[in-house]
Amino acid sequence: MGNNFFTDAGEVINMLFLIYSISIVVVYTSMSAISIYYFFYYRRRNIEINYDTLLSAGDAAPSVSVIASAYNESATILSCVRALLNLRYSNYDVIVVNDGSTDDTLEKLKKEFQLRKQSYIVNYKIKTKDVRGVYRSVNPIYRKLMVVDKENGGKADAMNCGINISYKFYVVCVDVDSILDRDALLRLVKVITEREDGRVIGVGAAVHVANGCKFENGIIINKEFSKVRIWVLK
Amino acid sequence: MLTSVYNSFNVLLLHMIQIAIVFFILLVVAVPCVTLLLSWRRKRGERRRKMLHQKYEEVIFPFLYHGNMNHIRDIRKKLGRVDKEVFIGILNDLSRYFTYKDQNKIRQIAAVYDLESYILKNINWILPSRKIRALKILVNIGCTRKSYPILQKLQRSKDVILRFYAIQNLILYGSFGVEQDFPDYKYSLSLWEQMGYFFLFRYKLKEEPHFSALLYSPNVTVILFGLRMMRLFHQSLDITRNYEGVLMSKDAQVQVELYRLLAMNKESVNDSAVINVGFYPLEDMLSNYARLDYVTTDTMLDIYHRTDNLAIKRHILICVYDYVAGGKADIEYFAAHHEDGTLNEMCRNLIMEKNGK
Repeated sequence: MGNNFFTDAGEVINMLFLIYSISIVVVYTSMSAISIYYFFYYRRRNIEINYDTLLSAGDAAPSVSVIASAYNESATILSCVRALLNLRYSNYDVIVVNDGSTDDTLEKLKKEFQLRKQSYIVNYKIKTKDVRGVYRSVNPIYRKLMVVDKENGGKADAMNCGINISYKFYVVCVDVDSILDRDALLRLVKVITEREDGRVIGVGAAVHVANGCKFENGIIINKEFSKVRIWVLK
Repeated sequence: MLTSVYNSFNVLLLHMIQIAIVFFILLVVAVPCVTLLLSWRRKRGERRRKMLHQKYEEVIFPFLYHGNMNHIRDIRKKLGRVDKEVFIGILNDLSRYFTYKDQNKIRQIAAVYDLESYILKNINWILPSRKIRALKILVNIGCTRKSYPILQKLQRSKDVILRFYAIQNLILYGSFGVEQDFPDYKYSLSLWEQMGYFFLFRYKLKEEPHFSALLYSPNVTVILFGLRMMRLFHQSLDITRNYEGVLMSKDAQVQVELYRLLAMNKESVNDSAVINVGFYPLEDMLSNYARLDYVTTDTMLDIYHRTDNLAIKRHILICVYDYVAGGKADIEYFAAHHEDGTLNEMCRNLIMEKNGK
């Protein structure tokens, strides 16, 4: 009686494991099939894309604000902001939000980009910490740049502050030390403009580790994997 | 009975596990081997293509930049048979940077090897990505009567990308009239398509068409396309003509585009028919509008005088102060001198607010 019970229970458990395994295989196979379909769908839409069409459109292309939060980024801030100002897109501005840095981040920006404090009414549509000042460059080369100095409130607060300041149609939120591909905005906006009704809430992008890549003035020159060996392989 | 079924099932399961293990071992060996083989083949192909690329470029470039195009047939003598994929790749890359005048040279070179027939074969392929790539290339190297029937068919395709490139080809061929055929266009035009057509009109056509005919279209996206193109090509909209449909449109996007177009022609902005701003987040629209390079304090004040809403009036003054070139000085002037009571008072309040008092 006891033996039979254990044998039956074991077989039931076996069966459950089998059903579980089969369902996992079915789920993963269908996921693979869907990815293959979308791979070809993506390839079809993006084969030999000429992004110059968006570049040449000037202000007819959707406007974008790149919002970058900075907290004690003194060491890298200048090259990073330069990289953001060098993106290939015709209708964008860069809003750097200094989130109450305690180092000389703001001073460096002011000196390098010839920033002057401007009177600016901030519409606090989203509640954030107080803005101490809004700076713009007196040099027309940097007309795309706006620096916002605010009380420290964390990354989300800095992003919300940038969104309050921005008057563009779309915002791209990045850390100031993130390195964007030069065509990143073109690629993102392409997806938005492809929709016939134009109703796109958000677009994602792939994030890669930059270790091993070669840079010049904040622009990726060569994409490579890190040469540092994993300790297991040594 | 039940036990014997389970026993046979267990045997089956055991067999399946054995097959899985063998399959796994095979995969472990096969995957790296196939990867290495494919990588070797890819690198060899790349090296070969690079070599051919260089060889073809050495012959094509002198023709394009200094050569006499009457001796175009010499290309065939110099190169003999060519790898058409590589050859097309070079012409396709080059034509991106060539405008209408030089585009003809590309077409002449393509004609030497009858690349159109090769591309037509690709267009007839089942694989959509191959088809689309071929259509894109055809835009750059030019099409003739040979491609006309298939392009006619594809311009009515349900696939937006196929349709888009087929129409581009037909526009260049001359059988799709922008002023005649676009007003009756029944599909939606996405902004991406509109930008694509703009690129074509600007760089690949001898002269751009006049887009005012598009404003009569029943299709809102075609109207938007027309308004955008008119602004980008600096074509003025004569609002004394019969454009009521557009001028009084309640569509938010049409209104914004109309404002931007009319801002080029400041006299038109004064017309009361177009000061109809109730269908779009007004603050955003005014702020964006004020940021346009060609907007002055006067054009903003025209809107100011046409509204009774004090909140809108105040926002207009903020926009002038913050965005319009010289707007800050104008507001200070109005605060000090202007006799209009409301404007004077609002400007003074704004300056006090800005100065933190």
